[in-house]
Amino acid sequence: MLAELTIFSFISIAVLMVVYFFLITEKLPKTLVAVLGGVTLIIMQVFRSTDATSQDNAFHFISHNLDILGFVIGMMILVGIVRESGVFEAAAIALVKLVKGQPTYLLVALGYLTLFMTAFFSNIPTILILAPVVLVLIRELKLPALPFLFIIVTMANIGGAMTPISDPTTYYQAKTVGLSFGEVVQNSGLIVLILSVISTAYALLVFRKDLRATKVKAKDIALFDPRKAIQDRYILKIGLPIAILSIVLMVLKEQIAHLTGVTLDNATITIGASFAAILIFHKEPRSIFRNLIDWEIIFFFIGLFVVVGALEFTSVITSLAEWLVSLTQGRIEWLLFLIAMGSGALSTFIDNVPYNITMVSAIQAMERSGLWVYPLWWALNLGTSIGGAGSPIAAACNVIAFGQAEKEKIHVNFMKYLAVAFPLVMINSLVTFAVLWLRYLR
Amino acid sequence: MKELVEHRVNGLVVINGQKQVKGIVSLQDIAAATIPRQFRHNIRMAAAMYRPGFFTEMCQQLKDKPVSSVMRREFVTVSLDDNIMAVTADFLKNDLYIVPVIEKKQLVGIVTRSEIKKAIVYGMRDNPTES
Repeated sequence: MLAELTIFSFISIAVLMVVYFFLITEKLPKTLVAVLGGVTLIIMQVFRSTDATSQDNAFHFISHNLDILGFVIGMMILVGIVRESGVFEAAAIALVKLVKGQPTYLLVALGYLTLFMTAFFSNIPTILILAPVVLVLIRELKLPALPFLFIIVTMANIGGAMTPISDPTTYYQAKTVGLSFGEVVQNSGLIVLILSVISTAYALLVFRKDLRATKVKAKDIALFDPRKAIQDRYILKIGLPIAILSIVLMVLKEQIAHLTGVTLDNATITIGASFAAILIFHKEPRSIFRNLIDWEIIFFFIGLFVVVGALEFTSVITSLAEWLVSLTQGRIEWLLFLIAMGSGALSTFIDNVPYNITMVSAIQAMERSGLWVYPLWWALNLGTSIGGAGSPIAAACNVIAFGQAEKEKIHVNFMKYLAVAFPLVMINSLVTFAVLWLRYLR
Repeated sequence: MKELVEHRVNGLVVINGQKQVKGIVSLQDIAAATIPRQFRHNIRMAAAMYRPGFFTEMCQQLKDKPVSSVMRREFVTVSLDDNIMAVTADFLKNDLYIVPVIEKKQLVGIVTRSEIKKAIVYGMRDNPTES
């Protein structure tokens, strides 16, 4: 195993460790760290081969993932434009009225709104839209902050495993491995629904005293009017159908290819739809590129593709895969347990994006060695999503939600949150393992 | 707020015992503190999520807060040598209609919208070459 490793392998490991150090300590912005890590690896000739330069081989790891980058950019623009209609805020306010603002029902309603929005619009835009609404509700109705922040963060994270379009890492895995939309929904998605029930029940149990102590009167929400949240009816009439059509095409692209021979991929669909929206709504491209595209996330991914690509190029991933197989004696049920529980626990404390990308390559290496790995894909996808809900810093959407809360002088103590969230991470990871074991290994 | 209403101004300069300028309390900043941040960024949300009595509660909460919690600590100042166009540009850029005039680190006066108004009227006078 170790014989395949060269000096470049150890350089790759060292750069990864430096990247992780800065991700964990947050001493430097993660985008800078990831990109500079990638550049360092290229300059140190880690990727050089006899027939290509270091840069050419490194860029191969980026070009192979242009669909993912394009998809993320397209969705950022599309959701950003549709959001201007106010439809999402209107939906949230309509739910508040439906449950009459009652804290217990509101917790359930907002949780499931978050889950289903995440499934189709991904978790970061969902949190960007719903966190402001929740924070206003907390202030206006004097709701306890922690239960509501907890439920939207938890559902945004586990919802990220529901469909290939609910999170960039889920899409990365689906695309890299060749998993269809239907496969992801039938495997991950179904388990996410089970986990959502467990998570909601957990939140209602843990926060029952806070929720019961809060009284919301009918007159408090009597003047709430979801129709007034609609800002732009033109975008609502035209933009929302464009977004829905894009989602339908992404869901049915395999069937469309099978029936008509027309191949579509997510980047083309979302970039096409979003730029059509820019044209139809006379938006300034410059302001769209500046305000709606989070270039930090894009470059963070680009950097990581190179950093993790170096591990693959220098056989570190193969060695990692071999070590994991030897650790578990090649027994799939032990690997399943290790990946489900380990991914959940690790993702609570470290950024799950590099971990996810690394493990996808590792599981592929296991598959090449002859191991049947199908359940491990779901364990990884679910484990990293579950773990993302474990702490206030575990995922980007958590940082956004708690960052906005801080600006409202709502402070959530890290250890207090961890004490509430981490047990749920373990419960959900265990349930995931149990369901996958029952389904595939029993 | 009573000071603002009584003196018909939209801002006050906050100074310490040594007459050094420490901050500016403007009507914009006081008003911003009476509504949730989210409403400032999304006016329609303010229309859609109004609860009767909420505005009064926010004002009551603000009433007892110290000036230091709402004042601006970063602000532009001008000196006696600065010209009127520079001052006007500051007003427009920072959306702040009260600018302290500082000389030798001491507050010597303020420029408000009234002074800008008077300057514009003066600039628009007939026969401007005669002065």
